[in-house]
Amino acid sequence: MRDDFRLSVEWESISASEGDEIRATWARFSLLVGAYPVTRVLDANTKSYRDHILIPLYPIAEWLVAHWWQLLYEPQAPWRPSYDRRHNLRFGREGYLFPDLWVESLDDTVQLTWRASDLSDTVAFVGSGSLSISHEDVRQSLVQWIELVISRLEQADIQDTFLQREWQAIEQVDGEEKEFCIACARMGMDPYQVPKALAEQVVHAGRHVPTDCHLEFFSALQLEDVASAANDVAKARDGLACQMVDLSSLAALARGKPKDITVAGTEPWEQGYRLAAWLRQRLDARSDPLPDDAHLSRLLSLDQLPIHQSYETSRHHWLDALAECNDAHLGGVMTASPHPTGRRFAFGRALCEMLADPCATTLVTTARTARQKRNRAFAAELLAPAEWLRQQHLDSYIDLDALQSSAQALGVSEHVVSRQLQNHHIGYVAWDVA
Amino acid sequence: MRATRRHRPMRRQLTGQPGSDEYRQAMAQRAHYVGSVEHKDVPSFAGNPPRPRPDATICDRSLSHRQADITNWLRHGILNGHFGTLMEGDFPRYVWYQDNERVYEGRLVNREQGAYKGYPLESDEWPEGLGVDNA
Repeated sequence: MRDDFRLSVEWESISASEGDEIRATWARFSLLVGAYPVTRVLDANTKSYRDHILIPLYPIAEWLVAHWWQLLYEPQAPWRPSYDRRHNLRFGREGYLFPDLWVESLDDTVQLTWRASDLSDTVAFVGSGSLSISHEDVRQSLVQWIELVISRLEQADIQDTFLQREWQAIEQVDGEEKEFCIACARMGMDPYQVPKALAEQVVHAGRHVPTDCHLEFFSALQLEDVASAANDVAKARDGLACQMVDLSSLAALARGKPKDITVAGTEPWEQGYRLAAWLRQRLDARSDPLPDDAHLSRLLSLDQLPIHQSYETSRHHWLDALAECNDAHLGGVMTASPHPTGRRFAFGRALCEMLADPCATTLVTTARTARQKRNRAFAAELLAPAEWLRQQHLDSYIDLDALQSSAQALGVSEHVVSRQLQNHHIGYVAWDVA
Repeated sequence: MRATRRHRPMRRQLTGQPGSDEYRQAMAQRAHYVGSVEHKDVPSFAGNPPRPRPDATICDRSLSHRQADITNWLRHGILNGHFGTLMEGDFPRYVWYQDNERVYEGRLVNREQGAYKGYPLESDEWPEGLGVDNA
């Protein structure tokens, strides 16, 4: 078991308990995330703390398997229906106590978040916290947890439970089917409950959207939009194909960036801020505003910003921009945003992708994946640098006039300025304070 | 990419196909509530002595000797179609009963006999689609 996410199990024999799989898997169970036991409780009966709970492990193990794909591959999307039920282990408890523990994928890492709760009159989970752990480490720990319970069932000669059947099916998934399961999971769907017609649309989209874009594509969508979204991508790419311009100056910048500028293990927004700061320094922009397209294109040694208008057909807005750059360094950006500030911000996000992770095709979406968090932070810091905001000597609570004035000077939306002020602890806008 | 051919029922969601009245009546007649001593802190129909586990929800003591009533709740849930899609043998794994602002989940513990135990749910654990009318 990995150090950062550790399970401790001491099997207990509890004969007076109903249900074969329940009775067989009683255990003194503790779970460590980092150094903290998230199963730490205050027991009012004994008036003391303990780090373990005494529960049957079958229900939680079954819940892990039932939500396996979404648990590990759905991005943070708390606005999606029933999101908590797929990502908070408490929902697998079946009448036993279990901590509020969220498991949320951030692409290469998984964020584990726990909070204090009291589900009974006598026992309360204490402590709250959050930790990011590598995706593979979490996956392996969950695999070991599930297999521990299955092994216990087999020792008790219990076969053919839902847990055992479903886990066997997951283990037998091959590469092509796994792609489908992950794609569905990224949309918040259980791949084993997708209607046939929609499954065909998912496969069709998977075959026609560039593979490099699959993570960002499916993470931003609702299942019913997958066909129209694939169409949006195709139309945007077709539209760009006849409007490609020379982006060799951007390619040169990408080649010249320090290798450690986007270091794995740091938060995605930190990577975005660092990359933007490096670019400004590299181009001797200091913290000067870039209030319009002309300023930004001059800085980047482009004749004009390579932004073109696209139109979405999906019912739900999901695509902020699509960027292409081929081997000859010809490319451009399609964006659906009609407003100058929105277009420039979308371009800023696409620029981050072209610098940090040059690919032939890049999607800038509404999803909360690590990549989209990085490019949002980059664009915000490039276009509304924190240092410039500090230099304005704004009050701690900023009124709307000052906000509007700053946004105008920078050529960004008031929302971007507000987020920069808050995220860099410069101040708060009156509307952010309830 | 290739779509999976496997399909499986949702575990804890109201079934959209509860079957005929006769089907539900036959199922309800056989289903019964046995409880489980680890959820009891007083002597009860589930067994004596009680064996409360500190980390199991403890049942309302007023229900300790109301096995017949709770069995009726269980059967009421089945007759109303308030059970999940996941079946084990002839019985649904989960059945739900709503009593005003409280929802109880019945969980199958013996698929041959149709025996269930139960526990209250927090409001955010209620199965989706469970209505208010449970008369």
